[in-house]
Amino acid sequence: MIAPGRVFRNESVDASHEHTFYQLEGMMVDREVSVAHLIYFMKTLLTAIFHREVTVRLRPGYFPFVEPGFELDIRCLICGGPGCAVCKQSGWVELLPCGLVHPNVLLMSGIDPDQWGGFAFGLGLTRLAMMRYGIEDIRLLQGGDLRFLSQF
Amino acid sequence: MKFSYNWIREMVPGLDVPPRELMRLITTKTAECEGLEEVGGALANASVARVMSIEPIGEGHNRKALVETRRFGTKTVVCGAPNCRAGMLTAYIASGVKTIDGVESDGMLASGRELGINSDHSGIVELTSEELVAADSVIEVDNKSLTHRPDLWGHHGMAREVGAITRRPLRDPVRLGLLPAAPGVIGVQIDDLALCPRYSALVFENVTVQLSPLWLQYRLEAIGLNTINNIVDVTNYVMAELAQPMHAFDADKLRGDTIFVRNAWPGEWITALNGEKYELAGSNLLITDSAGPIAIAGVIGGMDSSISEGTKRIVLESANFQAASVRKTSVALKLRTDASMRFEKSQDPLNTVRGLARAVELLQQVSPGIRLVGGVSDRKAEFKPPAPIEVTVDWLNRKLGRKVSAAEVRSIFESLEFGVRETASGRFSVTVPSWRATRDVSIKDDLLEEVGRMIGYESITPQAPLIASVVPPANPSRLYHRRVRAMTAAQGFTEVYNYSFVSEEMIAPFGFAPSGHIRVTNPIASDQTMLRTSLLPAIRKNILDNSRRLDAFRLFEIGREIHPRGEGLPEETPHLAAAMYERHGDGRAQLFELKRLAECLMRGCEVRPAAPRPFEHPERAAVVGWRGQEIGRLFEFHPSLGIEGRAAVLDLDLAVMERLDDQEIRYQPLRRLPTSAFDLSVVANVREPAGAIERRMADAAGSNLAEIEFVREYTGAPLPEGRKSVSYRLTVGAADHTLSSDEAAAIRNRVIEALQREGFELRI
Repeated sequence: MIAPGRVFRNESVDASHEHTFYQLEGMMVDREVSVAHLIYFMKTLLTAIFHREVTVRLRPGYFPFVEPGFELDIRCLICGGPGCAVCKQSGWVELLPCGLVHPNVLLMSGIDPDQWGGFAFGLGLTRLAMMRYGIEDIRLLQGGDLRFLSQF
Repeated sequence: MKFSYNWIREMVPGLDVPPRELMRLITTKTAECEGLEEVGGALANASVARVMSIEPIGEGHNRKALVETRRFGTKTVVCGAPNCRAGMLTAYIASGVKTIDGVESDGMLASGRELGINSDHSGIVELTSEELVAADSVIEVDNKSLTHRPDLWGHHGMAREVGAITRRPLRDPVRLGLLPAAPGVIGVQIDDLALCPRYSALVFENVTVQLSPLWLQYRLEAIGLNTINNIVDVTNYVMAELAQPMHAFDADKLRGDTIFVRNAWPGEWITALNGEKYELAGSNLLITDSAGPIAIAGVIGGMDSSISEGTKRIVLESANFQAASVRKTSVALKLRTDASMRFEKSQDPLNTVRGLARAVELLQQVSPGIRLVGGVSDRKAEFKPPAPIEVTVDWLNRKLGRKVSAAEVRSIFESLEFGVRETASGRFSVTVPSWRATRDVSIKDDLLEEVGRMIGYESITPQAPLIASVVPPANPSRLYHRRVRAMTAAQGFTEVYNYSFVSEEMIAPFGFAPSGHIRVTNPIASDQTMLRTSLLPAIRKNILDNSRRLDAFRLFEIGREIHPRGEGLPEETPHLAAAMYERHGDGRAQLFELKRLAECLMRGCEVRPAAPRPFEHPERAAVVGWRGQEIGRLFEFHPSLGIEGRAAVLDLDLAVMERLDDQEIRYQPLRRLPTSAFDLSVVANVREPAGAIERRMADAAGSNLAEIEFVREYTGAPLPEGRKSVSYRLTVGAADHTLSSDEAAAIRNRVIEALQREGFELRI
């Protein structure tokens, strides 16, 4: 299942925060779904998006609808790892939250979590676009200013 | 949340992973570290020093001091601090030789701020022992990554993680044996054990209130907590170490001999430690004495019963409050404190007495002669230990997609202090420790995370999932919108993305009733209170904004109108709103361009004049239809909308269009017989819609009309002012025979007569 669309969040708007943005949500459900499958899928998806091999790493992250939950980082595409301003000298850029689907989410949908499992992720399209075009102020995207919009 | 590396190392003896590497390990296995800060950097070149003698230099406040340092031998320094005196024990920094007031000063005596251990700069530090604190590294962890981990709001919890990650044993700083078995001397009465599952208290006498020793000040200042006095500092120290917030009351300022935990009564208020007065509501949980509020439970203490220099006896509170209740009160009072932040995360009720035991030990160190009065007063709900969770190694392996041995699984759980019992080969019964059981860990999937993060997700080899290959469901709407977007963009329109929210101010010029909109319960801003039922208010704003900078432009949006329905979810209708603006000119060309866009999007659509809506130009409003079905509107904005210049809009319902567009194309056999064509020019009022003339011609021509085509429009001499000439080419032919010239002429005459009957003049 893949669902791109406009999403909303209770957030005060400033240069890097918006209450309205775009997200690509994805989920896979099957009899046997593992963390190894999730990593494979995310690597493949991101390689296709960035048109080059990306290195990913998972670290613990808390999101109530997945368990375990992860923050997925990619190796910084600007510096390649040693650290730069974009990755705040860490060599990694936090890209997307993901995880194995929480059994309660499956139950809610009438799916037996003892028989089925899944992984889920949410990719911030707005953020990707900002990274791609070097846009430093998120408000430009919904500001309706043709001097900005007509550049694309 | 800031963590002191030295503090963690106190509880993980022998920890040899350097701070930066530890930060990386914590980030990949526990919680996101955001930064590393070195504190007390000057301590590397510092030494304890005793001032042997001082003598004045000249007129100023500087004096020459002879000091005996432990690390660097005897030195002569110049010091301007008012508290510098012979015999005192202070700190010396080997900062190099400098000449001050004509005296060579080899190094300097340092204040707390110069050493980087506190913010005191009123004089040089006064040491009470020959020990000087060491430089430290402070790791800052993102609070958002700790929301589900009440235990990580204290150093001991983080030390447990560090111990598990580095496979080193954890030292518990708490010695419960310090708590006397005697009954407590202060009464505790709790109204609702759901809101306050536990309240533990201890009474002390013979208290000395003074500044904390430097090591204690340094610990607190390093992680961003202010130092107040030894008593308050101990409560903060215990909070920072064990995640158990505590509060100290001046026992002599309490009225009665019982502490009550209850909701506020009408009209109650309290002046808090921050000096602010808070009016309390019934939902606020309070700590009171027999006369009234002494603290807002889990948030902040009261001013009246606070510790002061003269305090001789104290009541030490170590309690547990319901997370939701503390959160609500803290939000309502707009008061977030170190205590409320921790209680919001569902703290462990078993931790209260541990906090008291630790405080006893610390108070004895920092308040010499302090004595306990009685034992712990402890009121609590009944706590049921959580049921053990069954998990198999096989299930863990399948979920992780990697083999982990039973021994490794056991060792991970044990290092995190979970109870583990192997009930069968490869099957564990796992007991969750109380500090992880309040919210975080309750099912086997939670245990999966413990194992996964500790083995390290990087140790899992990516593996392609096996997926049944099926045709994915089509999403025709998405494709249709993409086509509309591409077509509109190809005509030179720039896409805008507007918010789904509008304000009353935005819709007022359009005459839309606010009641027809869905309201946002908690709007983010005052101009985003309702969901839009039309794209037009935002399009108008786009036009107003851009017309300040540009003389002409075209833009469009594809977005959803959101209309409330009687019940259930609202109806969301996708629309295209395309707009053209020109500051100068009469705006006619824009209307034609937008009409052309409509024709490009929906071949064969028609534009008919229509009664204007309040925001439409009275003479320039039309309905766009296709085979009798309305698909949208074409209009110019009414001058009252405040747009300087002319702005025209094409507003189309994409849901209807997609449905109509879906009709299958049926092939029409090609005409085999020749056709003939003739041109007609009609003189009409300039306001007469060409489409209306065309329809009249087509009707009159009848079934043998093969095609009617607009040729040109003309205004100017010799036509009088206000008249135009519109020319059409009509192609005629029959399906079953070639029309004779007489038949063709008859059709032509029929058309001419029909138009003349309607009062049109023909230029033949």
